Amino acid sequence: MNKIKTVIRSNRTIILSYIIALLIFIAISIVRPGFASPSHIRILIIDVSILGIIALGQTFVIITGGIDISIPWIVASSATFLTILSSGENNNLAIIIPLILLGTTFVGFINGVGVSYLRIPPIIMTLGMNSILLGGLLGIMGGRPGERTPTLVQFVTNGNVRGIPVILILWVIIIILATIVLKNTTFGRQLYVIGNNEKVALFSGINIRLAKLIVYCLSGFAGGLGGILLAGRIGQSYLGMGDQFLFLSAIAVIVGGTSVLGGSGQYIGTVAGAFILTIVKGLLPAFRIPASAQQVIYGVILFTVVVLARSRELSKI
Amino acid sequence: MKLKWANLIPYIIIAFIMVIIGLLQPTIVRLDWVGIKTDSILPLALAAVGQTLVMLVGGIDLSMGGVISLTNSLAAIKMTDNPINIILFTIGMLLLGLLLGAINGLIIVKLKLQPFIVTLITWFIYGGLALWVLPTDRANVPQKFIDVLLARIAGIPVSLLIILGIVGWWLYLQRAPFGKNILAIGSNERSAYLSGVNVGRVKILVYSMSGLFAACAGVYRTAQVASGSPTAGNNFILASVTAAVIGGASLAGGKGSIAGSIIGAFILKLLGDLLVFSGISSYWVSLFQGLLLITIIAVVSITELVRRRREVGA
Repeated sequence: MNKIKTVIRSNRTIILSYIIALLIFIAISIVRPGFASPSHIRILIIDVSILGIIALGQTFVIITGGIDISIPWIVASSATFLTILSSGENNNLAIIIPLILLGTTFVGFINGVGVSYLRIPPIIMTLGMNSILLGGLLGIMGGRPGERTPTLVQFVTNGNVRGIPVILILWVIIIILATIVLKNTTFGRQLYVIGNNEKVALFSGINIRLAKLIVYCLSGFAGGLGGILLAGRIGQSYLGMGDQFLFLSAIAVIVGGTSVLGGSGQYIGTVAGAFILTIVKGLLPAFRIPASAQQVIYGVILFTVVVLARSRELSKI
Repeated sequence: MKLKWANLIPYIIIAFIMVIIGLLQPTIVRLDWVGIKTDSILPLALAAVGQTLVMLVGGIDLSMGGVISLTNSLAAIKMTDNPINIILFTIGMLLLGLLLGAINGLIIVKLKLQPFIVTLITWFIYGGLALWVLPTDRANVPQKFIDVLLARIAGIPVSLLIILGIVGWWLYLQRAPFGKNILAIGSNERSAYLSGVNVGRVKILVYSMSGLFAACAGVYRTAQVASGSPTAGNNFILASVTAAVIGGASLAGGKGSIAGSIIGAFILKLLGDLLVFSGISSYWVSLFQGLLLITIIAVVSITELVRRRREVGA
């Protein structure tokens, strides 16, 4: 009994995030009939999974006290290369997909080398990388639109196996793996020490540089995987398709109870954050206002959530 | 002495670029060319000045993208041809920028939140407001407004006078208490606080000024391009940080120079021109900007590491 209590107490923020997500969901289902219909819930699950997978790397990076701004164009590059290399055909996916994931992981590797070995501040390193990818992709495409997404990828994003969305199965596996890595491995525990106090981490003999390098590689990998799935969701690729994911991935992590200063948080919290963000977004069309006004309201709501989370954190000190 | 050499680097680079441009295109380097260049660089220079102020206190302002887009969009469609309206509207836009910046500063200081996160969210919100007032690019800019801002006074462009004014202000600021407080906070916030600097107030003022300079950039861009775009500001974020970094600013705070950042803005734009001269498509420009930013920071960082290692060794 006591053990359950301590588990609840130590995970209060995350549990609260899930309760908030559930309450918002119920509230919207009452206001908007059809919101809780099975077909709409399927769409929600696809969107949440994509955001959750993209935010996987961001969670690890933020736990170590960093940030990855290059996510938007990692996502866009991955989706674009998927469609132009495959020309919309399924034939060579077995080569193309590993190649793309290797490529985006390599982008993360460069970020990691810059941050940990060259001591470049994460914001500058990844901001610069984002610009490099943007310019590179624009230069390669030369203004051409992207192509169709192969049907096999579309199936992975939108399809079902025995009624369960394929993407959900993939995501649940990722959630389990990420949680085990963060909670039960030496590497995972080291990330928290690094985020809390790098000096302590250094004196405890943790290889800080290597740990940070791995974390940025993971972020590149997760962004690449998310980009492939996003291309599957949309059915094609276009240049600005990753733009919203810098904002969404960072806010999902913070709403999920991870401190922006690093050293705390869990991936399961980010999962809740992704749910909240996606559900709130689903609420906006109910207002019958232009998309731009929806963006403003969305921003204000999320700002309020971040501010509330922060005031709770401040009151604890 | 070492520090002084480092401060000269941007000036050496710009001299170098000017020589190359002069060799490649000897016919274009004339006084009116300088005027046209200054006009087109001023928005970025203004943004870079605001970004430098924020970087001096160890912060970053991403919301600048939203503020520039919003003021550019509003100025492009809502201004009428009446001179009094133009003046009042311009003042209104600058006040709006000041207010939006103050909101950033207040939240960052009062809630002790990371500047990066706060300005990321306000960038999203201000950018949404810009799209709200102006869904797509449109031009309805009064000719008088354009004429005044692009005017030549005795052959000297207004844009150049604005730049000289800002440089003069910076020279004064370095000696004034406010400027000294900014530098003190940037080099060590804790000791600045202990020596009686009102850290919170200075920071809020700095973010407000960053908003003000962003609004100046947005308003001037309206005259310079003679149109408004709801996403115009997004290109300014990386560019303003890069210009500040070329000018010697560091993200850790306490280092940087407004005059250097203005030179940084010139370098960035002229490098873009050089690329186009050499036949490279303008699509690639972002790639070179990003590479430049990372390379400079990496060089600064490595020199610092080597210097520290040598000190430890000795």
